[in-house]
Order: sequence, then C-alpha cells, then structure tokens
Amino acid sequence: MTGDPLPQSDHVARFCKPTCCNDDGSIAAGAFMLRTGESYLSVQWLECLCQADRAAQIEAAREAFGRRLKVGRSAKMAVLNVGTACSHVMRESGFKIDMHHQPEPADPAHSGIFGISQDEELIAETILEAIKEVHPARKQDPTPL
Amino acid sequence: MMTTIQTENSQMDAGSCSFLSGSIWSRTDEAPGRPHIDSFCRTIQDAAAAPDAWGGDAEHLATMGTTSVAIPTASATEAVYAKRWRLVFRATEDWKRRGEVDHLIGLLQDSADIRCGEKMARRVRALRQMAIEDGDKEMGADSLRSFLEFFTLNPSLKYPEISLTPDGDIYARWKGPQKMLLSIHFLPESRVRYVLFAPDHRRPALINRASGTDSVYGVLQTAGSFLGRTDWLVQ
Repeated sequence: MTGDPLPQSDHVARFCKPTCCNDDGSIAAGAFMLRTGESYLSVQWLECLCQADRAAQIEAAREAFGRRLKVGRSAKMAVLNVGTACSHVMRESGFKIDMHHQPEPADPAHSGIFGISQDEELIAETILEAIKEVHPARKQDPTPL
Repeated sequence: MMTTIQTENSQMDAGSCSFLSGSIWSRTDEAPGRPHIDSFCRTIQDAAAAPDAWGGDAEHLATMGTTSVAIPTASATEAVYAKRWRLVFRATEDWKRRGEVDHLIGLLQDSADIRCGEKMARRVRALRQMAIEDGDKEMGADSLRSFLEFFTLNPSLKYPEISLTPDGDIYARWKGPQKMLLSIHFLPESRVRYVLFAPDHRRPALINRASGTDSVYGVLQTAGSFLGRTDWLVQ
C-alpha cells in the first residue's frame, strides 16, 4: 500500500543516468540527488517484482526502468539493502532517511527514498558507501564474434 | 492575463533575430492555443508607440535599456502564442545557452594554467553530449562558469571525478587516502555546496563528515582546515 515502509531486509534498485556515473562506470553522488521539484528518489523494490532470484529481479527492474525512462547504453542500476542503507546514513551523518512503497498502476514495485533533501550532497555521498551491487541498466548487446 | 518579456535591446526587427539576447515566456495560467491576431513585432511596435497602455515599465523598453516589461493586455498574450515568434525566441535562447557553454568549455580546454584543463574539457563535453542524447536538462552554464572559476583559482588541482547532478550542475569529486573525500557541487554565481570526509585524528576508523555552502574562492581553504592535509588534491 502507498506509504508502507519497505522491510529492512529487502532491496531497492536506483536507476543511474550516464551523466550521474563516473568515467570508470562507478556511481556518482548525482544519482542520489533530487531533481528540482522532486520530493523523493524513485526506486524499484526488488522483492516486490515477484521473481525467483536476484538475476530475475534485476531483469524485471530493467524492464520497469525501460518503460518509464530513456535508458542510455552506459546507464547503471545501483542496488541497496533497505536496512543497511538507512542505518548507514543515520549512523554516519545523523540524518534519518526512509524508504516507502509508492506503487503506481503500471509500476507496482515503484518506491521512494525519502529524507534526501535534509542535506542532499552529504546524504548522497553517504549512500554511495552503502551500494551493494551495480548492474547495467540496459541489457548488454551481445559481443560481436 | 500577463506576459513577461525580457530584452537587453529593444531594437526589435521582425526580419532578424540577431538583436535578441533576452527571453520570452508565458505564464502557465494563460489559455493555450488561442488564434493569434497580431505578430510579436506588431505588439512590440504598438507598445513602443503607446507605452502608457503597457504600464510604466514599458518606458524602459522604449528607451532600449535592459529591462523587464509586464504587458497586461490580452492581445499581447495572443501575440506570444504566435508560433513563429515563439520559435524565433526559443531558437535564440538555445543558441545563447549552447554558445555560452561551448565558450566556457573552450576556455577550460585552452587554459595554459589549469593542469588538467584539456582532459576536463573532454569530460565536460562528453557529459554534455550524454545529457543531450538522454533528453536531460541542459548542462548549466552558470555552474560551468563557477567550475571554470574554481580551477582558474586552483590550477594545480588533480583531475577529479566529474559528473552532473539531476539539474545539470557540475559535480567534482576527489578521493584521498584513508577515505578522505572532497566533493564540490558547483552552483551559479560562484557558490558551491561541498562535502568533506576525513578520518578522526584519535580514532582513524571513524570518519568525520562535514558539508556546507561556500564560494569558489574559499572552499579549498575550508576543506584544508577540515581535512588537515590536502597534498593528495594537488598534482
């Protein structure tokens, strides 16, 4: 239901545009900063995608991103554990951030990270330390023979 | 209904857009799609001929100064919706914005003092291209100007990780030993937001963190007093 807190043991995936990634493909802080007018960061709640394993969840998240966004070739997807990310930010910066379910008719796993605007740059930099996995946001083209 | 027009030169000639260095936009509460009954040029000419109908600010336009004019007439609003004029203004605005970013990147690239100027210019150009391809917000010229100003003041800094914020501002980041970090978000008018990480002197396993707002002139000094040592920032 809208507004429900996500379980601490679950995971979310954040879409990271190519301009919010570094030269080496690592995620930059801009990926966890708000666009003007946004009140939370959109993420996909992986466990809500009803897939058997992480690989299938990532694939389903890719599809969900692809429906909503223009996914560039070098765009990435950063995976966070809900409990680890929130407690890391709280412990290291003193700011409380939360993750809540924000389902939409065409996107039932849509969720949000709230509280970023308290200190956007500092919280974004601290979240970067809690990234668990990074995946390409677009299925990679097969390598030519 | 009200339409706001900004211009730096009121020599408004319908046949040329070279005079246009300002911008024009309509309020969102105006009804779109109304048939235009007058051209923008005619509106401006009328306004210049009868400034009283425009209110006091119109006199500035008539005297060709830099000004902002409020036009409280329905016909002016309809004129703004005249498609061709809207396109002319939009094209001029785009040209101005893109031209300025190009110019600033060129200054960064050609700077003899900035150590990594050429490499940074390549990266900034690539980010700009990516933003355009993804249909993102255009890179902010004001942010880029602050970035250039910062590196002009601190030319021997190492090449940082450079990325964009969701609003198209430049974000630079240096990582040092023992999890030291300096990140700078370049804002308009020489302002910056910074983030600093440094190990605690007594318990190096603890990372002290700070953030704040500063100017391009003072941020490195602020960083130095927090970080203690800054040799890792310099080439």
